Amino acid sequence: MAVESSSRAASGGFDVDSLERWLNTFRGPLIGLLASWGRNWRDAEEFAADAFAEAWIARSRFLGDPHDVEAVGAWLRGIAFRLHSASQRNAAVRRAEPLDRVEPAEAAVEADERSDVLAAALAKLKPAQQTILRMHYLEQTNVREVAALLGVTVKAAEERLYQARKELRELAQRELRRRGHGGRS
Amino acid sequence: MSEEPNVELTSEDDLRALLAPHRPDPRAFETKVKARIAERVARGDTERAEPSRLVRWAASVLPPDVGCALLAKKAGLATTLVLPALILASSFGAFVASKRSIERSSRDAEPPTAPEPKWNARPPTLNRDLVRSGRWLTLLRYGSLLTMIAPALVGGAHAIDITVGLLLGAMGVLALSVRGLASAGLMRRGTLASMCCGLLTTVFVACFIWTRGMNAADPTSRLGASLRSSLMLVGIAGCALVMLRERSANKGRIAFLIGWCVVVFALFVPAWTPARPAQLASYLSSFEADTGELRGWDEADYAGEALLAIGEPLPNLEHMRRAVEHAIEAGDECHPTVWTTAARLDLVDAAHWKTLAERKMEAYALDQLLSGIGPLRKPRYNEYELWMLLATRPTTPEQRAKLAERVEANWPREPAYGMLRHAQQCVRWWALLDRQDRIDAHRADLHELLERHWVSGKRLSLFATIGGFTSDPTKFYTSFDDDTWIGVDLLARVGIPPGIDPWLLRGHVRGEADRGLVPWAPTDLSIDSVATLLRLEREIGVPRRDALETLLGERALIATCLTLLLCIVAIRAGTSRAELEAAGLDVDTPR
Repeated sequence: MAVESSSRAASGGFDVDSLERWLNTFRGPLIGLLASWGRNWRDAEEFAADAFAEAWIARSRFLGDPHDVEAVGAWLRGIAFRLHSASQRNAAVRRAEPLDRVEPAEAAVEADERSDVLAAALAKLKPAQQTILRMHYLEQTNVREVAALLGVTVKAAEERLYQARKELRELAQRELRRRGHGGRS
Repeated sequence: MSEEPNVELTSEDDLRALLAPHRPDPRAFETKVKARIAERVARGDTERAEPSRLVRWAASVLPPDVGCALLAKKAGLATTLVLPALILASSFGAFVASKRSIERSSRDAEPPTAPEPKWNARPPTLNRDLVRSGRWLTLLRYGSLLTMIAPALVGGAHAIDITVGLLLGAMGVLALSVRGLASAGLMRRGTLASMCCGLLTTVFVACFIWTRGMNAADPTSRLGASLRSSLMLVGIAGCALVMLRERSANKGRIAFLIGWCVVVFALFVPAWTPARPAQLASYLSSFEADTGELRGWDEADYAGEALLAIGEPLPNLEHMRRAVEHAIEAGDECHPTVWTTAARLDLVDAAHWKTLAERKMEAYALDQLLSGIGPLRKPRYNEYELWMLLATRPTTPEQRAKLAERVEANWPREPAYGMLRHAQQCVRWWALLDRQDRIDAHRADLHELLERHWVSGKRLSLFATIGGFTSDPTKFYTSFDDDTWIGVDLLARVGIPPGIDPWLLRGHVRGEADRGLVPWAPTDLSIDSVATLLRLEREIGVPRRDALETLLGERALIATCLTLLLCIVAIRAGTSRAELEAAGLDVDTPR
């Protein structure tokens, strides 16, 4: 594959493993981040794929250590933001390609009341809290990687995550009461 | 994660279940990313395509700056080399053709027997050439409009070529007028001088009088717009003196014309005063240093920093030191800019830093620096906090490393207003923390940032002042003085990226440095530009130009000289009053 041949010529500690490591580390939080910037989940996945491809193609510009989570996180975030901004500027947004896997149909999504309540509560959270929950829980990624992508310290990310879960709990209980249930979620 | 035991949180399982439908398949995602990379590699869309063989060959034989521009693909071959060369060649061609035409007209001229027309009056007999030259002259008058909109037509970097084009037109008008005068029997030296005077005045008003305020001033010229304008005014005054000698106008009118030249020279011709460190030293020495006022402290900072950067000694700043120390001792609440300027100019000793650090708010600020978390975002004027910290509290390498990390977390990653200033502040803090490695790591980012914020003039914009740096390239495509200072400060630290033309930058800064009414005594308005210019010229250094580049850069000056030379040729082609009197011809010149 071309990516393998091109990677052999790469310098600065890059190899195919670097790409796979980046994918495994940042895939979930980056998709979550893009989803928080107003993308639907499908578009967010496409943009994340574009961002990884761009980061790999332009890796000669990356002067940091490819193993340094914070440096790579900031780099990926910048690329994702540029792609996102550019697509917003252009009227014609790149059409999403069909995925290799079968996307679960909306109707097939577990539609029990518990999820409904949680989804409604999530939508009422502050944007920053929604962002961190999406980034962290989409693939249960480490807080360190989430913090690196957000450009904040691990401590700040943990605090934000804690507050988000606490707030979500309260909102969910309120939502349940509104629907006529007095129980705890 | 720090969860308080008594507070119930949403279950993690619930959250994972909520987002499960959106979870990507890792293998499919990886395949997709690799397919996209392979697709881009296959179509040659790599990080930076190699220049073509032809371009690489051209770059190897061309002068260094031109070659670099070609390789950097920041300018096309046409705009880099061909257009200026074509325009320069046209100037020489127009001069030679016009000179031949004037000489031919002179040879074939009727004896100047017709009475010389009145000053500024139409000749009694208008032949076809005189009518046509009059129309062309009218068109030239509208050239001023053309020079004003030139930046929008061809971009600011090539606006000067519009001026050169107008000078070529003036040469043509001159040749046509001489032919017309020759046919009408009016080849008197006085008449020709009067005609040249009118033509030069028209061209000056159309093209040159604006150069002080307009953006069309030649930014790449070594000698600048001032010499061109000065030569033009000398030419007009010279024509007036010929008219005086030939008695083709009375003394009052000649005096008025020369007076006009003097006034225009004083008010409109850009001064040509090279920036000198003495200007900055003089500004600092005379600075009032009122710590209760914000005015002037930034400028004093620019002046002092520039002197330090170019290795010049600071003047005696005892008055500033006393003012700052008094403010600290008296407990005055000064604007942080005062402290920051004082810190950068080394006006505060350890004892006074200690006194300042004992103030409640300052002590809190220092505590926050050491124990705070998260991105460390401080405005420019709060830089003194770091100076104060380093002067008053022993910091461990770990604390310094943590501070550097917090600055790193504050690095501007998303396009926003003031991104350049933001980046400069990070760089300054790293420099104070002795973390050159951080600055080096961001060198490529800084180059990209600098290129993005540089107003190159390649974008067509009517009101853009090109050559400097802007605070926000998406909103303001024009140069700002403080952003240009920041840009030059960063260039001094990380070098000049290939997309920035130091000559164009210097041309812009030099124009700004001459902005004061008395250029050799810069004011608050121009001191920052004088400081910027000195740093650019003496700290960074503008690369030397070879003969070809110099020639192309001075094309407007060359065209001006050729136009003046043609005027001299035309006047000399006429018959002087003395010659007519010696020949006993009618020399009656009614006025």
